[in-house]
This record gives sequence, structure tokens and C-alpha cells, in this order.
Amino acid sequence: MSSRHLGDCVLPDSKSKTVEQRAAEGQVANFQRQLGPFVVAAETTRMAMAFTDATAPGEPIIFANEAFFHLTGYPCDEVLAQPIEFFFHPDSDGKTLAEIAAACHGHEGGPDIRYRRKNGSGFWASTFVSRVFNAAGETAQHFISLADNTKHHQERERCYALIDELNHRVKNTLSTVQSIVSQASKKANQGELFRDAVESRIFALSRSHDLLARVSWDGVAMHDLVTTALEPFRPAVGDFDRTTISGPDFQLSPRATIALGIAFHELATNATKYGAFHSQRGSLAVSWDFSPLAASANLRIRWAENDGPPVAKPTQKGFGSQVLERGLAHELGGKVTLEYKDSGLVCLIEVPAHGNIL
Amino acid sequence: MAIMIMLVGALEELGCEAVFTASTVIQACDILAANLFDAAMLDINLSGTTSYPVAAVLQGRGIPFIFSTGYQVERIPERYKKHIILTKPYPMGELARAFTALLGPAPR
Repeated sequence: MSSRHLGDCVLPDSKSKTVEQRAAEGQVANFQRQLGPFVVAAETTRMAMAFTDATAPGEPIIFANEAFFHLTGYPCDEVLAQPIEFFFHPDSDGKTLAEIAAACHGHEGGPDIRYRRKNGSGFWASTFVSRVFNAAGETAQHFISLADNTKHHQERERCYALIDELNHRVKNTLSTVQSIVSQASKKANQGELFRDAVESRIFALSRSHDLLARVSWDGVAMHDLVTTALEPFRPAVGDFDRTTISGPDFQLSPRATIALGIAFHELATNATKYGAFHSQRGSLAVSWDFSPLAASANLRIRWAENDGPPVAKPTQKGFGSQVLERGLAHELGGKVTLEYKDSGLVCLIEVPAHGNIL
Repeated sequence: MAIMIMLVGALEELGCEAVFTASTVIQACDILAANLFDAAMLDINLSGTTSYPVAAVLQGRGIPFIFSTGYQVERIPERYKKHIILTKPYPMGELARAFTALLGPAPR
């Protein structure tokens, strides 16, 4: 319990006190005598409280409790004689002032007001104002209590930011779906092929989102990304006994997860149609490492098909090769080399390992 | 990435001779410094930062541009609201109209 008494804190300069202030102080002294336990309660509660002299110009604070000093960071002698507005945050607008004025005039409700601490930081507090009447029935003081709800406001701000970001991602995803449909419609004139091309890519996108959702959009493991991208091709691949995945594990950024997820899906689709997954004997090795360069490290991914049917460079550039050659370059600043070997396709992806990837 | 491929394809179909893409503000500024452009299109979010610095460079060089974004239009600062803003997803016809508004009809 605090050992400090109300009387410890008096207005700094007694000459500047008005007759009314002296009277108000006299009243506070009276409270102290008559309401001893309540004064102790006010001193020890964690709710910030202050009394203002409603009869003096500018309504100076004539009493404030420990919680008030603690919340504002101002010591007692810098609080007394200040009006409550002194603690308003500089961003406070006319609406705040009108709300507090309305509260002072006895209107119901405790408006949320942004205040400032001595160190310049801001805090939010529900502000309750009630009137204290004198014997003549006039408002002698205002009793102001502040309930700190900064945390609630911060949570709300964070929610707004998240909703904003979510909207943004939804719209981008819809745009991506639009692009998938428009690409598929360029090539496939048969309904079924069109549907397959669209569906498989939308599902691939959806699986990348699942991976991201599982880690709250914060770092998907490379190994998980490759496994997830290959998973839908399991029927074609057999039981992965002809597929090896190897490389040091590390976390990919959301951006890289989406981009590489699409890239692996296109490679696997291609392998199923024309490459290693098209034959019973074909095999696939996905591996990666970091090549240390002079200034930064490069992530090198190698997708190597083997023992599949012979492959040849396509005459037309489809969505798959556009994703690899143009897309990864744009998205991750990478370089992609496609080698159409007799043994199968070899795709080398080299991207600078910096903020875009990790 | 898929969006970029679609847009580049659409712009090439519209008759753009060369289309450059950038995914960061720095990349965009490098490309701007090294090439001459008739028009530009800016996504507001470039790898997590806003593309407004690029907009300032474009304005300084007198290159007309449009915005494309997944954010709500209200989020865009007042000073850029006079520009055409395409909100994703949008039909490719709207992209054509926007660039026609910037550059005039395609030469025949």
C-alpha cells in the first residue's frame, strides 16, 4: 500500500493560487479528513483519477492519484494546476475536445481519448467525467477517471491492418486465377483440357496458400514446398521411389513460396505430360544448395529428370516456360536455364538469396 | 507472377514494342534510368513497400502512368487519385482502355 498522503502534493506556487483554488484545496483536505479510507483507495487503485476545480479558469487539476502519475509519466508537481487538456495527444482533434467538453457537462458515456505521456508516447484511455456539487448545488469539481485501453486500441489497429492485407491478398489471388484461366484458354480449345489446366493450377495455388496459412504467412520450409508441389502427381510418380529431394532446409518468404510453388507445379505437369513421370522408368532428382559468391549467396535449385522419353525444346512458349523464364526472373530476380537433354529435362534455377527469398 | 505474365502478354498484344517489369522500387528505378518509356503501370505494393517513390520519378520525367492494386482505392493518397487506378481483378479490356487514355489510340 502506498504510504503517501494526499496532502503531500500541493500546488507549486502558492502565490499563483486563486481564491477558488484555495477553496477547492480546502475541500480536498475535507475529503481527506472525512473520507480517509476512500482517499487511500483512490491512492492505491490502478485506475488513474483526477479532480479538477470546475470554478477556476481553465479548470486546473487539484488532485491526482498515483495511477495518474504512473500512466502519464508526469510527477505530481507537474500535474497539479494543469488542465486535463494538457495531457491530450497533439493529434487530438476538435471531436476529442467536444467529447470531453460534453463529458464535463454531465453527458453519459466515457469517450476514448488519446493522451500523451511525458516522454512523448501516446496512450488511449476511456475517460469518465462526473460532477461534484457544492452545498449550493453548483458544480465545484469534476472527477475524471482514466481507464487505460491502449492495448485494445493496438489490437484493433492490428486487426484493421490484417483485414486490409487480407483484402489485398484475396484480390491478388483472384487476379492470379484470372491469369490462369486466360493462359489456359489460349491453348486448350477442348473443354476438358481447359478445365484440367485451370483446375490443377488453382489447386496448386491453393496448396501453397495452405502451406503459408499453416505458418501464418511466415516462412515455409523449402523441403515442404517441394513435397507439397509434387504430392498431386503421386499417382503418376508411383510412390516417390523414383524421386529424390535433397538440400539444406531453410525458410522461404511468402513471395518465394507462391512463385516457386507455381514453378514446381509447372515442371511436374510438364514431366507428367512429356517427361520422366510419363514413363514407368523415369526418375526425378530435385536438389538445391547455396553457392557462396563474392558479395552474396545464390540459391541454386536443380530439377533433373532422368530415363524418361527423349525431350525436345518446345516450339511454342507455354505458360510453364513463361513462368520459369520470365516469372521467376521478375519475381525473385532469378536466372533459369532449361536444358532439353536426351536423358530428360534439366532445369536450373539460380536466385540471389536475399530478402525476396528468405 | 502469373499476373505479371498475363499483363505482359496483354500489353504485347496491344502493340507495346517492349515491356519491362520490376518487382522492387530499386529495380524499377534502375530500369527507368536506363530506358525511355512512353507509359508505365505501377502496382502499389512492390515486394511489401509502396511504389510511390517510383510514381514520383515518373512524374518528374513526365511519363504518364496508371496504378493497379489489390488494395481499396481509399488507401491511395489524395495526390495520386487523379491517375487511372485499376483495382484487381480487372478485365483486360479495361487495361486497353487505360493505356489508350494515356497514349491515344494505337497507330494503324
